[in-house]
Amino acid sequence: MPFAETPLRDEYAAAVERVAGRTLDALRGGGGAAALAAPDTPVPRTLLAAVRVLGADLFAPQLLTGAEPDGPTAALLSEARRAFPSPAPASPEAALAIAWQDWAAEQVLARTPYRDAAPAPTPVSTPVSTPVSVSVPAPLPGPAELGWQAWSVRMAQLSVLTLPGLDGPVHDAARANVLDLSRGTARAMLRRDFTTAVRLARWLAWADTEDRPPHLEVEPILDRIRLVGIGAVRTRLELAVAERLSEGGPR
Amino acid sequence: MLTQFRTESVSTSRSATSAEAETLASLMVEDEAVVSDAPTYLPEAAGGLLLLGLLLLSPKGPKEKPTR
Amino acid sequence: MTDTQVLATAQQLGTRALSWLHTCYQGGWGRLSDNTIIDLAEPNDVYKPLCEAAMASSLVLRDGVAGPQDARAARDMLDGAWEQLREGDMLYERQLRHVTVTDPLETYAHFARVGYRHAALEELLESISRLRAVHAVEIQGSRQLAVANARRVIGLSHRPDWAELAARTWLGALPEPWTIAWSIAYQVTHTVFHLTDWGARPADLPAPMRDYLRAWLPVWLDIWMEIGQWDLVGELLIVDACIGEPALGSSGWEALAAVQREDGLVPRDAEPIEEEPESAIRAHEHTAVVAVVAATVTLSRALNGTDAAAE
Repeated sequence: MPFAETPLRDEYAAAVERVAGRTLDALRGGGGAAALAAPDTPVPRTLLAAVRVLGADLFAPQLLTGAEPDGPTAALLSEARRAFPSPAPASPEAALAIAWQDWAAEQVLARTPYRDAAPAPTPVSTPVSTPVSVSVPAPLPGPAELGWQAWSVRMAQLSVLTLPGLDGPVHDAARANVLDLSRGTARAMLRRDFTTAVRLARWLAWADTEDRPPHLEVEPILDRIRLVGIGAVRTRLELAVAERLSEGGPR
Repeated sequence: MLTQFRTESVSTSRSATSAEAETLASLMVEDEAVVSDAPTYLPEAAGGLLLLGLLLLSPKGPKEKPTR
Repeated sequence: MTDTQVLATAQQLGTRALSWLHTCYQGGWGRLSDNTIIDLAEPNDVYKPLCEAAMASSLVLRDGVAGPQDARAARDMLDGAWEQLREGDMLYERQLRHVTVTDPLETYAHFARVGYRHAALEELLESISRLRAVHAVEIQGSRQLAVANARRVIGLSHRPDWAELAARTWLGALPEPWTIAWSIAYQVTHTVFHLTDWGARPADLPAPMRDYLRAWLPVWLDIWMEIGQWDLVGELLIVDACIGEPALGSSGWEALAAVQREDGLVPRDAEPIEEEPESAIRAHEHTAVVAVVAATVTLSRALNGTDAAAE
């Protein structure tokens, strides 16, 4: 639902755009860490908020070029999770989305010295044994239960999970329901909701790398989104990630 | 030596206010576009051909002539 | 909604729409003025709706799944239209004068289908079907299929290359489904209508096109339902009844049933309905036709299986 524009939201949203822009530059520049903040200097709270929002996608430049997540970015994300431990979602559905986004962040951080136990206080199942021993959130209901439309929108909210190196029950659901992901993508394109479309296109590009042909050619969709011109830098970052995935980035 | 950051605030782990927490959540989980911009009727494309196409898509139909 | 509930909803939608159409024509709406048709200045004004109503009535009688009252209404409208066409003489004279127009052929097919025959017209149609010119007229792919199916329904001897005609449509290219436009959607639906003879021959739909439709019909239905494009929603429901097992659930039917008025009028879109009765009929007559056909073909597929119609 439309969120009231407040000065705080404007501030955070602008910071998200800046951080997304730095990350996008790093990705286009061939990988390597975005210089988000100088070490051993005070970090503005709004920057930490932006880092908290983007989460694991901050590591897109590294992960999509086969590099390991870098120390400084991991330190910053770790600090952001300490400073903002509990985003307050408006619904249980949003809470579950945040839980999965946080799970992705934890998975990536676990590959760095900055693995932490910053809590996501949203619904969690009993801890599942994973290589890095992070607790796994409850799975999303599937398209049979939600309808492919609502399910695909919720999968769009989890586009960060398409980064290389992540796998789990949400990915299993994606593998099992590629047609519905494709339908959701086509629907978003026809509604001209390119933000949702590009997030779903990340899943389609991911599915392609998993040898699950998506029923839709992904590159024309990415071309189209690039041509219509999306304003938000954050969305352009998602587009760049989708493009890299569709070129067959490393898994 | 691990990189360390410190935040600008006095305490390094001040709890987020509820406004901050809600704002963050709304930025982390975005809804789809509320209003659809799906394609609708285009006058120049319709040409009046629906279930039965009749005359060709000429600019005008033939003039009515007095018959028989 | 279970399948039987879909059928019940469809049946009620169709019967009420048919009743509305019948009432319009009983009320004297849409009469051709004498001798207008031969050189036809305004084909969409009265002639086209008349032919559409005849088409819907023809399918009602063909498929035989309507109750006796609906069958009578259908027969009534066909009789009335045939009488206005001077038992086919008007179509004959028009085709005789204008060799390359196709509307007499297409209109006549709906009558011939259920037993209204005109020998001289058929002989004329056979004759002109032997002209290269007639087959070379520049018309779009879905319209070429319309003409081919009309010849097939009448029983003319010309044999089209169905596979080639199907391939030369937008649908035949199996295009990127997110590029569809409003008018292209109608070309897609009509491609399916004519390839399958309005659901009588679902097996004649090439398998790749059927699989493509199964994948993307739900998307198209969803986006046009969302913005209240009811006429198009109805056409997509007809398509769903022409592809074998339906790919769409109950939501399209529920939506149309919800917007149908007490008198059976089905609004073509979300715009307010005109107050002036003549304007309202003109604006929404097509959607009533769509509703009747959708209900008829859906019930026929469900009740009769794949071979819905006698040849």
